[in-house]
Amino acid sequence: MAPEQLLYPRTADTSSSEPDGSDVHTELLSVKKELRGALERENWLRRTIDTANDAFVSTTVMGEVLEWNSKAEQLFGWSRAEVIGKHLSETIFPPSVSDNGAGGLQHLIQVRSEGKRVETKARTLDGDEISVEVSISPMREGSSFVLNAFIHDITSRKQLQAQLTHAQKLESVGQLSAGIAHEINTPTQYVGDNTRFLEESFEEILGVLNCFNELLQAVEGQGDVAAVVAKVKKVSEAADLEYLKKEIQDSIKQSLEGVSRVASIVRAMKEFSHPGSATKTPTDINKNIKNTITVATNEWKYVAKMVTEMDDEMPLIPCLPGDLNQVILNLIVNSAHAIAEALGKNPTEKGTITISTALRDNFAEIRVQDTGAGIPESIRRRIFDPFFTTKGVGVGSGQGLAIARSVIVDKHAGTIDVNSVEGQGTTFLVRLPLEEQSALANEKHDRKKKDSK
Amino acid sequence: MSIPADAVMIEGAAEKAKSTGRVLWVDDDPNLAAGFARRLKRYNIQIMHAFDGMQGYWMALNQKPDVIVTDLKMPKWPGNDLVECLSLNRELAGIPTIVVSGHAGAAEKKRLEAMGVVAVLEKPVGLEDLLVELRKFLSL
Ligand SMILES: Nc1ncnc2c1ncn2[C@@H]1O[C@H](COP(=O)(O)OP(=O)(O)OP(=O)(O)O)[C@@H](O)[C@H]1O
Ligand SMILES: [Mg+2]
Repeated sequence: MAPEQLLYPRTADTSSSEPDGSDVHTELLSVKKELRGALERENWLRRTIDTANDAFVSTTVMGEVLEWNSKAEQLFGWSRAEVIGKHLSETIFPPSVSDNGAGGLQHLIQVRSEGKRVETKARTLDGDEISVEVSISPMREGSSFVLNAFIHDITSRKQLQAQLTHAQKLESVGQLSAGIAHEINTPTQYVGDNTRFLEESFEEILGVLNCFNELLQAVEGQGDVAAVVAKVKKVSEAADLEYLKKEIQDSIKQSLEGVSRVASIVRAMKEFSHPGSATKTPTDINKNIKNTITVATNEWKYVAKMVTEMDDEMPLIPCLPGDLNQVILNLIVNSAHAIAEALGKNPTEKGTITISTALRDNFAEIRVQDTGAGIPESIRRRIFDPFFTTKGVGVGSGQGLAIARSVIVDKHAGTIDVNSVEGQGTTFLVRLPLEEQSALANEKHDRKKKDSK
Repeated sequence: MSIPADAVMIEGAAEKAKSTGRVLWVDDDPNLAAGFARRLKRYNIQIMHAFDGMQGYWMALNQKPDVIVTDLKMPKWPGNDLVECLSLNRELAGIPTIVVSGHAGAAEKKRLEAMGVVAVLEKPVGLEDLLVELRKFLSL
């Protein structure tokens, strides 16, 4: 029998039913049909849910699992039978999962406005943490709610993102290295020249010293003192001792400057590219910022003066130092570009980049401020979008701020905001939580603050 | 625009009589020009120092050096702009100009030479290589 006939056999029957046809019979038929229909429907829905590409989880408001599809079985490792009746916090959303407050879906739905996709971490039966995107909708069920969630595995997307960050990092190291070569070439040039100069000067001074030696011997009675004195005078004059005295002092001082400049660039470069940690580590962000400024010197020094205002009281901040360096670098390069744009082709003066750090409300604040062209109101909303750029090919690819956002917001549960006045300049404000916290907890914190205002 | 105190001649005025050449060195790092000044003094070459392209142009006009040596990447006017302005000024166009820079790629070198630059040298440059070029224009 075809399914339609199973579901709707009556249409045809009604007209042809016999006048004496028993009502009981008809009723039985219809109950059976309804039951069958319900079963079919249930089966059909079950299959729909089980063939979904995403894990489907349905829970009570308390987080007790009511439904669990095959994708959820695959993704998380618990079978449907095992998990039904268990609490989410005993399974995929234990309180220990890094990105998650206790309470699972219920918590997610309270914190986030419903219907939104939320990125978070979940745990599998094996104990692995995976990145997931959850979209939840509450469904009224009698006097209470059922929470339905589709959970999408975004681990590979996250990995791709991490690779992109890495690729951009390598690219910027490549770009920076040309600038660094120049920064190192200049001191190398003058340290070499000065050392040669010292070598030559030493020869001259030795000549003078030899004359003085002769003089000493003459005075001790072995020669013509007057003649040797005349020679000493002549040789000293030729050597121009006054000149040598000053220039030797200067060249030593400048050479030492040069050598320490090279050393600091090399050190900063090393720390910039091998920050030493792939996990969050307590970091002296002032130092990281200074290193990044040094490494990027060639990017800004021709257009801008660099001013730093570091909060000396800054505690160590839990962060991914390499990623933070990248963010600072991206902001500095953007500022330098914006200043170059404002100065035009024949600049008669430089702009200013001011980088400051401060502690405020359990956050470390980093401000990167420039006197550049500013960001037109019309594009301000889009600057954090991947590949959005106003720069020419070879200058910018529109990744800098997208990566900055991903690093600060996704990886550190921080915030990044922009304030800009066209024609006057731009300030980027990065805020990093002092304590390693989940994004959710922050948001809750913000809400509380807003509510109490 | 005024010249900063240390932008005037590094050598004393007494050297002037002995000088076999006056070279204007344009580079944003003062230590670099000072290093060259010390070494070139032994060849009686006198170095004047400008910190950027714009100041370099101004000093070229006022001092009429025998040779100009310039870096490329500098604040205010970069070397390119200086070279271009020099070549456009009838009074200055004849002054031989040498580029000493870490920034000149092959294409850039060609372009500079087309603009009349007599030599493009890579930083760090050996003194001998520089002297080879300077000897073409100065009697050392
Ligand atoms: N400090 C700033 N001042 C003015 N405009 C800015 C500033 N920072 C960013 N922008 C604008 O935002 C756009 C996006 O910046 P983003 O750093 O993401 O990309 P990009 O700089 O264009 O390229 P990339 O960083 O990949 O080299 C820029 O093209 C620019 O228009
Ligand atoms: Mg950028």
